[in-house]
Amino acid sequence: MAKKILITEDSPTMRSLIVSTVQAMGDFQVVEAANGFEALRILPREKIDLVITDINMPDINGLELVSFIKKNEQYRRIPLFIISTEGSERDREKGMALGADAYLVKPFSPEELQKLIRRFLG
Amino acid sequence: MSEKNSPSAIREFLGEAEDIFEKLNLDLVELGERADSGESDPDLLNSIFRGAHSLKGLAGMFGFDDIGELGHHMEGLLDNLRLGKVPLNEILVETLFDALETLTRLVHGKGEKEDFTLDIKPVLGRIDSVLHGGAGQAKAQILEGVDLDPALLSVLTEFEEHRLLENLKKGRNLLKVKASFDLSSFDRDLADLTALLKKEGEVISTLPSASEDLSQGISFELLVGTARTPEQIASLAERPGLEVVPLVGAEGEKGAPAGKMREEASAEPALDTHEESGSLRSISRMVRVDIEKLDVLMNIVGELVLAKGAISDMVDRLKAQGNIELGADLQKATRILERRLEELQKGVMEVRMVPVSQLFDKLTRIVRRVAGEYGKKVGLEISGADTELDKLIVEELSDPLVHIIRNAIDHGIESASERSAAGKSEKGTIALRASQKGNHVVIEVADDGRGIDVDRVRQKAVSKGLISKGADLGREELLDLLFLPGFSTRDEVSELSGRGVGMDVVKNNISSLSGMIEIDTRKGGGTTMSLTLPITLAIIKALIIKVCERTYAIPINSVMETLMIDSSAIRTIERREVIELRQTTLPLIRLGRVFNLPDGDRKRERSFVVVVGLADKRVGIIVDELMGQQDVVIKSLGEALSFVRGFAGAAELGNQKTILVLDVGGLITETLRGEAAAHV
Repeated sequence: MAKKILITEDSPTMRSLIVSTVQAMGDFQVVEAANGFEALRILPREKIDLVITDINMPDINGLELVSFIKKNEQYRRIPLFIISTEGSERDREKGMALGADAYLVKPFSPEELQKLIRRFLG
Repeated sequence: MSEKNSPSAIREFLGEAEDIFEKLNLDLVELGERADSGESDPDLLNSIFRGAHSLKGLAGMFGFDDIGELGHHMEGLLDNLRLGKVPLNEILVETLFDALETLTRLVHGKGEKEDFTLDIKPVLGRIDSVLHGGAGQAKAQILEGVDLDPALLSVLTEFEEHRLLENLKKGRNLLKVKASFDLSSFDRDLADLTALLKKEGEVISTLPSASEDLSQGISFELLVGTARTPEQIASLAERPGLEVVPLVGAEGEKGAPAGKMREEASAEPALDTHEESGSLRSISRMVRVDIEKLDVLMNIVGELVLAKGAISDMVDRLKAQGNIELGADLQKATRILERRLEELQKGVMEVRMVPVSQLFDKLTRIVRRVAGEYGKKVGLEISGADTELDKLIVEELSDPLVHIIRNAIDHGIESASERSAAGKSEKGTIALRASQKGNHVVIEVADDGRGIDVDRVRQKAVSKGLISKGADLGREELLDLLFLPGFSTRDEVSELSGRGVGMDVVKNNISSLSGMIEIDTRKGGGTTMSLTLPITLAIIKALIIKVCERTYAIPINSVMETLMIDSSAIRTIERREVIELRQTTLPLIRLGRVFNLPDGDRKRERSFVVVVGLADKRVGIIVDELMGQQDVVIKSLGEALSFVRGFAGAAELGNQKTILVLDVGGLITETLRGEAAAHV
């Protein structure tokens, strides 16, 4: 069965850019969440193989989502990428310290994202 | 992803950027209002920061370096502001407005042409000077010496750390509020709890609790800064199972589940358990649609309406041929079709309607900026912002309203000293009002300035050779002169409101929307400009008429009544034809003359008069035949024919024939102005 990637990003344009980049790879299924709350809803319902999340979001921020996933017995093994912006190094370091597996800095190229996904989902 | 920006991706970018601008603008207006006190709401700052941040991220992905760079600088400034490193003041807010203005122009430019750019150095310079002029190059404070769980600190963003410190500085208690929710409704319930806590202090962060199995529900830990004690918070929240733990400051049994004592107090309303079906719903229920898609839908609906008209014709023909039974059946079916079509048409029309607040919000920015440019104090009062209009009309209204507002601030509102000398408050007021009146929406821009001096208008018109010295013109006729091309009451055209655009252009813009503009002014008491506009432009009911063997359509919403008159009832006053109608004199128009048709001057024994009106103006149009009402789809005449006067557009009739739709507003003004000119 095709592996499933959960994309959490509050900007619809950014989200659709990431989604189309993933879909262009052909072999993955995509689940979208517009905020951390939606991601929390999706996690117990779908078998997710990889999470990609933005840091700066309303409600719960990306770091809180990382902390939740990486401390939860059921989800901690799911690889997780954080997306951050130039200039927010401190938040990025915190994300990595909380257990994120990789990070991307906006703007990134489709190839960068695809390479990273392949590294974790081979 | 910058090499291949598809048109649809760009459109999506524009749409989202527009949304961000709209939100930023509102937020900045609010920030401006708080600038006097120097104290700002952290949620507001964070929302502004996120707007700039999202825009920067988006621009980067599309390779729009200029937007990215400006967004980056703006974000830098906002970051310093929210971390308390630069003070909140008027100059900072102005700089942010400047940056937003430039961003808006950049994004609009790219919408037209992807490689559009602007020189952003001036605004970058302003941002930098605010940043470096600020008190603080202070290093970010670090949460040392605060005895907190490192696990808790590890999930806080830099901003949240700053907020935590600020709360401690204010001597507030730091509490951890832990609550559990059902998975089907946690977002709503959590939002309720958060709103309640915000009234008592500040919610610094919201952390979902990791230790549980999500399918059993979900818990959150909220970090709260408040002057209240844990017990007070627990009793306010009234939630069974709520735990309030003091972290710093508050005395209390550490870890006591203070909420437990309320456990019996209120049973939670039964939660519906539609988890399976409801859980993946997104929180927003809005869809963003390109207006062009709606235009296509509207056109299809329009064509269906026409097709239905053709079927109705066939019903009549069947009946005339004696096929009564089939005719009646077909008529029944057609009626059902007609009702459903009406609903469909109404539905599509409703989707196109947007509140005028979309426009008014942008105008608050204009008022603020223009008032600043002229060094005047002006407040804006808005009412009726939820009045709805067709999106297309709202878009087209933007330029005329900006012009009217510029005029009001430049020419209308007096300087503070002049105002206090006249016994008025120093701060002038502009009121923007919208209201629905039947099929029309009236938008008024009213200022409480010096009003228009009608005598000066007359002098000016005489000196410009527009009227002769002795011309006998009424007050209203004199005010109408303001709409003549090239008219300006100021001796030197102000650089800002001049711009080569006069009220004549505003008037033409409004006419092309089948609308009308009127002035009401009192010397010393202010001026009100009223725009009367149709609610929608797409499909209208029209009265089909015939004049000199030509067919025209008159939009039914401007038809007041139709009369049949004898030619003897027509009188001529000062070379103008009029009739008496219920004790008033109604000026008449002969379309044959206006449009220079062959036979245009031929008088008939009996003719019909269609009385048309907009706002409180009335004119009678003399026609040869009334052909009945019909739905028509109005199409623009296009750029190439935009100079043609007297027509609002072309319309298709069911039988594939195209006819012209009269521009009632234009004809009325033309006729009434013609009257004024006839006096000269």
